[in-house]
Amino acid sequence: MKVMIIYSRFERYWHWSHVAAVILLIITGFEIHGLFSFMGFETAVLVHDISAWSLILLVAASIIWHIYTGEWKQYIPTRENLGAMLKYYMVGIFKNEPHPVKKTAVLKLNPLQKLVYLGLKILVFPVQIATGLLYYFHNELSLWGFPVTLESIAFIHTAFTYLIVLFTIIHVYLITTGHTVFSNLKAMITGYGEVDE
Amino acid sequence: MPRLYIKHLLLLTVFVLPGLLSCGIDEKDIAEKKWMEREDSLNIIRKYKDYNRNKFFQVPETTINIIDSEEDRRLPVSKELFSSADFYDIKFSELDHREETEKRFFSCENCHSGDSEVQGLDDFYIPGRDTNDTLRRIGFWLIAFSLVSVFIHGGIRIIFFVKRKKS
Repeated sequence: MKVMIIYSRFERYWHWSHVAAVILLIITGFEIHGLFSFMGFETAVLVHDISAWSLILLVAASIIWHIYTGEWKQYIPTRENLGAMLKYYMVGIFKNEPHPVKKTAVLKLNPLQKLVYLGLKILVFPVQIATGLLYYFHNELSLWGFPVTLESIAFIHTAFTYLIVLFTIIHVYLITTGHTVFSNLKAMITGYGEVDE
Repeated sequence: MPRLYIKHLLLLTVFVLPGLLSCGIDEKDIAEKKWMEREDSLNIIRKYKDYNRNKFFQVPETTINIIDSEEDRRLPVSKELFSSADFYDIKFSELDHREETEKRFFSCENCHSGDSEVQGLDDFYIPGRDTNDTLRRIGFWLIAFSLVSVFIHGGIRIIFFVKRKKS
């Protein structure tokens, strides 16, 4: 094991600003949807709009960064060790068995992470951004004859929000499954982490 | 003679012309006319006719109340107009929630909440008022299931960790 930089400054900035934006979007989104009353509808809409536009800018910046640095290759899915990873999380982790996938500076993600993050990047976030924009501009689009109702857009937007909440819960939990309970969290804060040589 | 001519023209304009014009109006126009007799309603229509996006929020708060009263519910025109394209524009484009809010006489929650004052008009969607119960239930159970799973998994890890420490 050796300690080295795993996450660059941009990756950490990108990750934590994503966290802030997504949390704000989930809370305010559910308030707009009428699940609870916390900061008032008007403030919720304002915060939701600002967070959403910030996230769109952030996503645009991260796409450029991923292409420029070649980091997009981290998300190429593979079936290699996929079964081993599932088995590890269901059995091996309890017996303190070694992680089936060696983490290196080049290979940061295990096969399960690759699949989930790829799904987020090519399905969940694009659908959320697209339906969010359709929601935001629905009044104008309706005047141009846009046929889809606001209710349908809101339905898809909310349904995918539940998927993001589901991801967030599992993601936060899996942070604790590193070499130590806080090693993954520490790596995402400082950038330094233990990798297999 | 010229004076008489002007007088007749005025009479024609004031009394006869509106009568002639009214010959062609359909039921909706009559209903709209009834609706416009109400001062508040007239305000909205006037605002709509020559609207100014930034000043729209000067519409009095009775905008909401007039469509919520029992009397208005009985009048088909209210509902018809409310869900018509024109009124839709007013309610959802003009009050599209991105405008200046300082002069607003009513809060968002008047419409966008579970206690929305827009009751009995269910043929369109209002965020905050209308939620899909099936989706809400699925979402709730999805979140509950994931939380329970995480706690169970974490709990088993702790149990095994303690056992390993002891042994």
